[in-house]
Amino acid sequence: MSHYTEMKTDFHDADCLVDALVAVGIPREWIEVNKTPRPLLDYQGKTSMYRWKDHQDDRFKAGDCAHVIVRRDKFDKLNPEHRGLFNDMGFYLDTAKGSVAFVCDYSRQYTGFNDAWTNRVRQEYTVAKTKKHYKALGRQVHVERAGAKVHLYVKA
Amino acid sequence: MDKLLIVDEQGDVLALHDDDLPDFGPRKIARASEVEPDENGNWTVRLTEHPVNGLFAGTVIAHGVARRETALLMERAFIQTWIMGGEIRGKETTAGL
Repeated sequence: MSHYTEMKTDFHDADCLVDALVAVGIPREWIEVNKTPRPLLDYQGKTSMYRWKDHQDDRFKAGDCAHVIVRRDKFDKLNPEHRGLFNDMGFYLDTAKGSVAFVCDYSRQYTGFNDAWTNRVRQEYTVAKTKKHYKALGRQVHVERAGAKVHLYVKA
Repeated sequence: MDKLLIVDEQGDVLALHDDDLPDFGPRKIARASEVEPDENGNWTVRLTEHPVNGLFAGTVIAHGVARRETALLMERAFIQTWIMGGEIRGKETTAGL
């Protein structure tokens, strides 16, 4: 007999997340990776408080923070006409309670980093994670794009 | 047979279960099919449910199969192609069918 396994992808592996961000067009040198979470800054250069204000999430009482960060000045390069209006983008990695992605409304609107983009990051994360996982087991993974889906074949 | 993982538009994953699957996050496991012996000692493969729509529940996809190993291969090949939308791959895939 067989069973289906459905998995909701959550960001836990910083290396795979970096690979995913690079795959969707973020230059690798723009991405900051921290072992312990670092504060995220808003467009005024102050620590942002969105997660605590909007969701009363205890993990962020002292302010928004993340392990994987793209600093706001990088987005100025992508959108010089909106220079100085972006917050830092960050990904807080938490295996136990679930990870949190911080993408400001301005980035969603003016850089295309919207929900569809976040889903692309999640797709690329699964690709990177799958390759890393099976490489450690000595197996190869063949990646195929099938419309909006990705098919990952793990060689027998 | 090559193992298939399907990554959907949201980045979530569907696969036939095995203990070596990567840990992407919270998971839900559901019975897909059963392989049971008949009165003659042959094997029947029957789909039990599907996480999306259950359309194939109860469908017999093979019966009177002499070897259980062959029935198991047929079971995984059918699900991988007709339900998950992938292909059958791997040099030993069809050897025993």
